[in-house]
Amino acid sequence: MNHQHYLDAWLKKYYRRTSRLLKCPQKTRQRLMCELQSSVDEFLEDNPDAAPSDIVQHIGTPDQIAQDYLTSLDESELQAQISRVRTTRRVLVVIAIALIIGAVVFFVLYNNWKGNIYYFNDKIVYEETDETNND
Amino acid sequence: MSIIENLKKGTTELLLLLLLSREDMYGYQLTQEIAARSENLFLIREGSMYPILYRLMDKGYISDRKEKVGVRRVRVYYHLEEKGRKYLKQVKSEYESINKGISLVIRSVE
Repeated sequence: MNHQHYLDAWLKKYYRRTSRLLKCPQKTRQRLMCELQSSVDEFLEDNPDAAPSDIVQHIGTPDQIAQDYLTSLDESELQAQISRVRTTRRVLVVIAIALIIGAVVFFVLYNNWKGNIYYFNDKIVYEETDETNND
Repeated sequence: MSIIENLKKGTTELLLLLLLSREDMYGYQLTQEIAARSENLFLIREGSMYPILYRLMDKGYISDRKEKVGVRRVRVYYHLEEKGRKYLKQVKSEYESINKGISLVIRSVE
C-alpha cells in the first residue's frame, strides 16, 4: 500500500471517529467536520509528506478535538448542550418504557386470546331417518 | 483546566477578532497566523477555534463566505462586520485593562 492510500484509509477512520465523539447538534457537527477536513487538506498541501502523527500534532486526536470543542463552549452553550442531552435521554427512557409496557400488554392479550380458543370434541351423530318411505 | 488553558480560552476570541480586523481569513490560515505571530507561543487547535467563530457568527460580529479552491476543496472565509469592530474595541480595552491590573499586582509583589 503506498503512502497516499495508507493516508486516505487512516483519514477516513480519523474523521469517522472524530465525528462520532463530537457532542454537538448535527448541523454544527457537519459544519465542523467540513472545516476540519478542509484544514487537513490545507495542511497536507503545505506538508505533502506528512504522516498521520503530523496531522494529529497539528489538529489533535479525535478525543482532543471533541474535548476542545466542549471546553471552548461558553456557559450558556454548555447549559443548552446539557439540556439537549437530558431531553434526548428522557425521550429514550420514555420510548423504552412505552416499548416494555407495549410488550407486556401484547403478551397478556396474546395469552388471553390463546386461552379463549375452545376445542370441541363433540361427536356429531347423523341419524338416518326414513323420510322417503313416509312420503 | 490549567491556568494557561483558561487564559487561552479567554483570549482566543480577541486574537481571532484582531486578525480578522486586518483581512478576511479562513480557519487554517487563522491558526497558522496566530502561531507565526506569537512565535509558536500561542497555538490554537482547530477544535477549540471553530466553536468561538460560530459563536461570533451567531452574535453577528463576523460573517462567512465559501470559496471554491481547486477541484473539490472549499475554503470558508470569515469577515469582521461593523458590529464586530465595535465589539473588538470593547474586548481589547477590557483585555488591556485586566492585563495592566495583573502586571501591577505582579510587579508590586516582586
